[in-house]
Amino acid sequence: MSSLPPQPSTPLSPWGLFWKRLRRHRTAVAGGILLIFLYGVSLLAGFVSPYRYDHLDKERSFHSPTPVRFSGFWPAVERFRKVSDPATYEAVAGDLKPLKFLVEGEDYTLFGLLHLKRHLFGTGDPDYPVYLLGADQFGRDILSRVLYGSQVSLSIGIIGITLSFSLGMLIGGISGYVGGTTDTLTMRACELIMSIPGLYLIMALRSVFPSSLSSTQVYLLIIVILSFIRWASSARVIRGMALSLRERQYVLAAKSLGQTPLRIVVRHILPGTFSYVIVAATLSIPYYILGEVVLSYLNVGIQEPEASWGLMLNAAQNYQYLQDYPWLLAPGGAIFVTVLAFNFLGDGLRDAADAKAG
Amino acid sequence: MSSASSPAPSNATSADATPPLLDIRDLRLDFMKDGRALRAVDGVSLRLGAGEALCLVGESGCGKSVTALSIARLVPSPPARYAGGEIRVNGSDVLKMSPRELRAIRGGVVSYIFQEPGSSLNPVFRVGAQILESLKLHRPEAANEEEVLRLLRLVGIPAPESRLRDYPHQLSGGMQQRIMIAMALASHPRLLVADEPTTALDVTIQAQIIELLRELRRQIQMSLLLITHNLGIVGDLADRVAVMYAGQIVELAPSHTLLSRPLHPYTRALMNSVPKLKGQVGRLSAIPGNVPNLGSFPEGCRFHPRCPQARPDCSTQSTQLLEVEPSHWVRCPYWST
Repeated sequence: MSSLPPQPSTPLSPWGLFWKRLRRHRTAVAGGILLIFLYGVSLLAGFVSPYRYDHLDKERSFHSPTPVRFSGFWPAVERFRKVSDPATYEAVAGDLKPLKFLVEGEDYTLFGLLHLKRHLFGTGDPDYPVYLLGADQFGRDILSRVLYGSQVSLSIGIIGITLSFSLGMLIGGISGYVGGTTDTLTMRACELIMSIPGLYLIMALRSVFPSSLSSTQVYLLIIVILSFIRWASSARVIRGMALSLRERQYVLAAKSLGQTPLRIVVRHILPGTFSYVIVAATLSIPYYILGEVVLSYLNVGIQEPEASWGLMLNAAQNYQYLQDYPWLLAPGGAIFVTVLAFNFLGDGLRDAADAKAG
Repeated sequence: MSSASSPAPSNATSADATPPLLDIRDLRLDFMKDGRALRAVDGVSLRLGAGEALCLVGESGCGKSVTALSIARLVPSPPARYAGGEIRVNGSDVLKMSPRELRAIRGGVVSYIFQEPGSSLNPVFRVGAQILESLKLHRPEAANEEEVLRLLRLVGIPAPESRLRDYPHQLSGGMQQRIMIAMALASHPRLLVADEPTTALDVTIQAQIIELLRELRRQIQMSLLLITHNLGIVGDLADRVAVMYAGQIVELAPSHTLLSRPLHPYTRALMNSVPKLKGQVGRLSAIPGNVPNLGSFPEGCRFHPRCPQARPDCSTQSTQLLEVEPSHWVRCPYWST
């Protein structure tokens, strides 16, 4: 029986306890790791994807996915032959081209700074395309477009919650702390915003703006619209928490030291709401991802030739296409996995934040 | 009877030249409930000079805390409403101050420590950061780690360097109260208001905190307003004692006079309910009944339903706070019996 090293006697900080409980939650850890992977790949989309999002190949419209074969131990792809004209392809047996790694291909920009040519993998031969998830109507690689699209779809949630929760925390915190008429007016305004049917507001707001906006402008517009609808509900919850937190004695103590009301809200009221905010924010990221999907699906979001998951699904809405080219649903799979990962992580965070359940 | 509303200044000679540090005159405060005004503080007058220590004693719900919190106007209003009177701090009336002036008074002139040290510290910040926050507000030039360490040493925290980065929950109640005192002293206040600073602590820790307060008063010239319902610590700390009952001061005297010769029946009853070390051991005597609820104070003397010496006219005749002996004020016409 080896003697254990003496344990540190100091109890864990609130964050330490939170972290410890979170790590015990298997699905949350899995969701978290998956999300780190997805965001990492999304940042490196130009490098990981074999093609650019706007790489056209009219000759290979609706090209079927090219499975990875092995020539010896080295992975390779087969050459495909067009069988009939509305796009049916057939592998040419035995005509293999080995995959190359760090192969030279089309130009891309990484992190908006680095202009590079090398891609993670590819054949380097235009006659042997790599379409791991097939191609769309214009012969664009779906995998590449899913990866480029993830830059829009994944970042929209993060920026969206940052906007809506900062607004919600500040307004809810002030409303709850100050109380009285301020509180009444703010909360009625929140209820007003919450009572507007969101989808119609989005459509209406979108139609107010000119249709010739660039994709970046549309992207920002979507975030602002979605956050504008969303902040009110978080403001209401935070206001409720502020109502209880402002009765804490440390708030009175801060006030007795002559602290300004705004600093009391920011330093002493809002930190008490963090455990709620982290959980609620994680669980509401899917709302933004799906919001973008809906908008792009309705043709008021990201415009071609840029890629986003919603826009790509828009191309898959034709029943005939779906039957013949089911790989067009790949972005749907990406949405499914991402939303599920966020919900798993959010569940774990909620359990970890709720000390009684631990 | 005009003298009745302004009990004796702490120091008669300094009263004319410079205004006393704290001068509460005929303070009246209501709590509004369902459109009805419930009087919680009714005509309290107090003076406190620089370096003086005053103790405010009474049962729960008699208006001690509300009076003390009013000095920096910390009673939330609504529901509270000031119905009259003045609270002069360094000669200017707190009740007429703008929010900016009030923030300068809070911490700058008057600092508070509260009953539950554990809940007075923000659980999510390290204690060093919380003391630093107090420094940044009132003495930004001294907002550095050395000053925080000096304050921690001043309030008797051993190995302050290792405590700086602790969270409040890592400290014991006594340590937490010392941190609170360090925070309150960081701004160099002229008056420290201690609202039942030892009630939530163990008896041995209580004694340490009281000893610390007394030591601090000796080291830094600071006035002290101590609120307690523990008569045992009155004699240790206070120069004068004010006993409150149902929103009024019923007796005000130098502490040794009050402890040796209490005149008001309520003060006597309070002192009889403290266990004694000497003499016959029997049941503790308790004061029968409860403090009347706000808004239902009895007519006449407010103590008469519980008073062992009550006479028939006590329920009709209203009472005045009178100076019956030099610097000894009593609100009972039958004090001599």
